[in-house]
Amino acid sequence: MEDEILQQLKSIFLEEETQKRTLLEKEVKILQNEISPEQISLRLEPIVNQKVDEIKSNMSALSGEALGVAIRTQIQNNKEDIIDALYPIMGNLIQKFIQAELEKLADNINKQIDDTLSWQSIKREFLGLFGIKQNNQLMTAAMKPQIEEGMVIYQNSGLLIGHYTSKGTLDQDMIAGMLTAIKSFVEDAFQQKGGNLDMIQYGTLKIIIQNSYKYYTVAIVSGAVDTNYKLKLLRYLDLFAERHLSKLQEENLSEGAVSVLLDKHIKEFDPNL
Amino acid sequence: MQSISKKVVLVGNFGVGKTSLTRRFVFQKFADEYLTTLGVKIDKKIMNLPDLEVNLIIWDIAGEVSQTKVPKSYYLGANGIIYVFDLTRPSTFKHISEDLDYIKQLLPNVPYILAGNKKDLLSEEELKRTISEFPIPCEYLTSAKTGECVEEIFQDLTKKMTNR
Ligand SMILES: Nc1nc2c(ncn2[C@@H]2O[C@H](COP(=O)(O)OP(=O)(O)OP(=O)(O)O)[C@@H](O)[C@H]2O)c(=O)[nH]1
Ligand SMILES: [Mg+2]
Repeated sequence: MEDEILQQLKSIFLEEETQKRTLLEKEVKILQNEISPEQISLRLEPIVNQKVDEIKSNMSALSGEALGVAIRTQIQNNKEDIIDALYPIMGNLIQKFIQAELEKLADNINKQIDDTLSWQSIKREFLGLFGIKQNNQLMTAAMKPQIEEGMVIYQNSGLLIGHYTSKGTLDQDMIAGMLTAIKSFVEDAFQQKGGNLDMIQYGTLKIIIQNSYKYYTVAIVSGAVDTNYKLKLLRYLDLFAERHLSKLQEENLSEGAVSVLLDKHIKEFDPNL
Repeated sequence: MQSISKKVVLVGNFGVGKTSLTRRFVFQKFADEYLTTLGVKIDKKIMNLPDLEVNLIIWDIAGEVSQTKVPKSYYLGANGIIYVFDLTRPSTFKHISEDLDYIKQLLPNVPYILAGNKKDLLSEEELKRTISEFPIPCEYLTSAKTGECVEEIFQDLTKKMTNR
């Protein structure tokens, strides 16, 4: 009996407590569930993703300027390194550009020549109707290409091995050196493996360059040099290298001997000299 | 008489007097103004040795702080080198050893000459102090302005190049 009463009393007094306890237990369960790693990552993920997106979209604005400053400083401090790195790339770009421009130019010239030629022939025929003969002889003679100087030069040192001259006004030793410096500069700048400079135009003079292994041969030509003439001359200079230079040993090359051979060879090419 | 050509290259920092030494040697002239050399300038002078005429082709190249910056093609085939520095600017002779090592590796067995230039600008005292600062001994102290020792460096180099 007593027991029963006690039990009843207990339940009356403790009911609230029991309820609170079950409630607490429930909450603990829920919380435990919520702070489980799976749940946390589920909740964090959208937030993190949103932040990442924000950073991404602001990145260019944020770092654009900072990067710019960094690059500028870098360039200022390491000018030479950067030029070193860019040089070959720029060289190639410039070369491509020049090549394209040259091709355009060549096309234009060809077109112009065609036009002029047909115009000339029309004019000639027209004048011919009146019995007037056009004399182009003089003009052609003035424009005729002529070899002014010839030189055989060491590729490496730029020293002259032999020379031919029609006027003797130039100091060929110095020209040979300068040409070699220019040639190696151009060839370095364009860094084209196996690429060689084969013509330089200086005022009305064309400097035609034929490269062989240890030496190169140069002809300085006045007058109108067209591709045809240039190729013919290059082939002839090549022949000179083949005939004479390949046989000569560096040691016993005398300037006089090479000069005599070159003189003969050039006059063979152009008997009018 | 027999005649041969030799390529001589003048190297060293900018403004040390390479062009001035060449001009003094070739044209017996000197100018106070400074016109920096672009790329390379080539001059020529014939040097007469008792039994040989030597045609000196002188490559006066643009000065660089370090010799490794000079285009290698300028050195190619050189028969002799003149390394010029400025006695009034220690920075121009601080790296002689490294520069010479580099040149010797590019051009083994090619004779070279060291020339400390602008001697006219230093007093006896200063000269003594400067010499004590050289990283390696230097044979020639020159002045392109007064002409002191200019002929000598080219003469000595010519002899070395022709094994006289
Ligand atoms: N007082 C004096 N001045 C000199 C001497 N040699 C050269 N100078 C002066 O120093 C300056 C530079 O001389 P340059 O001969 O042009 O020097 P550089 O070595 O050729 O210089 P870069 O071509 O720039 O490499 C010029 O103003 C010359 O007048 C010298 O012996 N004495
Ligand atoms: Mg100079």
